[in-house]
Amino acid sequence: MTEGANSIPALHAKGAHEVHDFGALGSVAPVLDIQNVAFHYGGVQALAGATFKVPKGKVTGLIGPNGAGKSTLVEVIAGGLRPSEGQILYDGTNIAGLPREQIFRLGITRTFQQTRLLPRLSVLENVMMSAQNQVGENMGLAIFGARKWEPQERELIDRADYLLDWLQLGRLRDQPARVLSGGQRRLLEIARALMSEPRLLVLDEPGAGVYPALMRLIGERIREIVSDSVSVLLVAHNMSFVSLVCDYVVVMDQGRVLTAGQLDEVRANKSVVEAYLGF
Amino acid sequence: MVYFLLDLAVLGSITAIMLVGLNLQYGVTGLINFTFYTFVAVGAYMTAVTMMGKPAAVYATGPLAEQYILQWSLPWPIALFIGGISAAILGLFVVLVAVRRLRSDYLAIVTVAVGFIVYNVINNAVQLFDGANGLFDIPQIANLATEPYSLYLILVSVILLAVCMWVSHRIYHSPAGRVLRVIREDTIVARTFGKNVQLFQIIVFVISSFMAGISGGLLVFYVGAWSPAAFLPTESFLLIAALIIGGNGNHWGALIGSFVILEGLAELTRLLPNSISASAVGPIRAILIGVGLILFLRFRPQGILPESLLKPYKPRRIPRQAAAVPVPNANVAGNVPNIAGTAAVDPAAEEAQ
Repeated sequence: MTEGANSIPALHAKGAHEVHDFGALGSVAPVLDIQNVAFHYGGVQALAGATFKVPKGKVTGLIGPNGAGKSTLVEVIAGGLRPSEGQILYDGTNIAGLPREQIFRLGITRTFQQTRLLPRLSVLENVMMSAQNQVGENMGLAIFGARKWEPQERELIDRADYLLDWLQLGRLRDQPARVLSGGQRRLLEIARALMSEPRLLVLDEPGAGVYPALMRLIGERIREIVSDSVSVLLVAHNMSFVSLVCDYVVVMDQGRVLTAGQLDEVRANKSVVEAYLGF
Repeated sequence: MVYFLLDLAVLGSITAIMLVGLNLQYGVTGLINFTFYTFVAVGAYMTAVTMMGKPAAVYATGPLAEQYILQWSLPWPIALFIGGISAAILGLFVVLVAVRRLRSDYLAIVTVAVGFIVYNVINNAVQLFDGANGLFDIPQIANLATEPYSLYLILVSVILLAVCMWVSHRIYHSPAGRVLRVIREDTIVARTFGKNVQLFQIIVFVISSFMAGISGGLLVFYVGAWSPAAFLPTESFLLIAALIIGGNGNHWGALIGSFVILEGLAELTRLLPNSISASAVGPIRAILIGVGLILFLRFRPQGILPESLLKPYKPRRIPRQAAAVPVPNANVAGNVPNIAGTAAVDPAAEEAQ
């Protein structure tokens, strides 16, 4: 499925077949193994030894109160921030501190807490830009070798059209992204991320600021994305959204992991109730 | 009238080459260069010193002695190419220094500094390009009378302009051009999706610097002289203003900026009453362009020919095949009612607003 990702040996490196007991989920190979990750903004400790595993082929929710360190952790995983301590093993390979570009090429794609679309580019172009290994991105071929990249471009347009239709944005494909509503922006970010054919999709609050019906659509689509080869790590606040979408939940507070398990399990955890759920 | 039209055509096509290059750099990629005209000047100087040979006997010695490096007598196409390459090498140096930091304001400050350095070196190191006196008596590239020579230069300039437009068009309408526009909009997003931002910025800066150098060479073919007074910082400002008014991001807008705003306006100043001194014509033109820039930024920031008029590469929609489906469990697509569109802003209304 993933032409670009399959060409990267690291994806199939050591640890790919090791399994971990995820409680009620059973024994599953972790796609991401976050070990004792720490990060501080100046004197503020945002991550203080966060440790947990993300099961492969599942949707993992990352929840916690404001300031728990969820979005900082997403930035660290995606290569935007370099952790001061700890390791992040992706299929057994330590990716902590790698730059964004390299993380992406390994098959990890993220969306942003505040959507970052390209307002002057069309909806279609916003999706197409993320495809991996585009022949026409070679400047020499761009100028002199259109015949070399046009066939691939046609395939990419077809695939992007499919994704846009699937996320109900097809009728807006030629509009500039700036005209989209907040919910549509969230959907477009998901389409853009999927276009890169990720193996790990990191979604930072995909349901934030979205009205309930659209949130349900986003949740359903996330469930459909997940497969043996595609895992999802999702930051969320809305517990009904988490219960709709997530197989496994990790609860963070003050830069640490309080507990992890299925939603019912973590709801029963007293420290979680005190720190986050408030009941 | 004929002289007016010839002058407009020659200078218009030469400055159009500059603006097509600047558009690639600033309009398409978002690289701010406050000293673009310095690259034009480097191209002009290097073209001149590689084709004009040794100084004429009358200027070889004495107080009027003309000094400059190289003193080669190469054929003009090679000299012009060397002018372009020299500007491209300077561009490579600048962008390699500046692009280490991805912030565009950092590059902008570096370009200002480079402009000052180049200007002062050329102005004071007399042995390079004859300092403040500049180069003069630069030979014509064809032994023709004034008007046929202008026609000849129009032909050369228009051919080179067409090549630059073609290159710009091919880049813009390719996946590489899409990456450049992504970089312009948001470098973080570009990097997040695996784009080598620095490499793209370097390539574009070098290509557009080459275009600047070529246009500088053509200028010395036409005016026959070049000195530090020809590339004051105002010239770079006028180029940026003309591009914004013409249509930033659209290479056809660059043509409008060149022929209508820069050269057209310059030619129109000939119609000013005789009571206005000749030395005031340049400042009046700069003021008019400055006022135009302010008005356009306020009322029509997209310029006369907006970028949105350019249609990116868009082949006809091909009927989808099942094998192309990239999403697992795609058979459920379509089962969910179309609710995404209900929150949409009406694009037409948004545009109108």
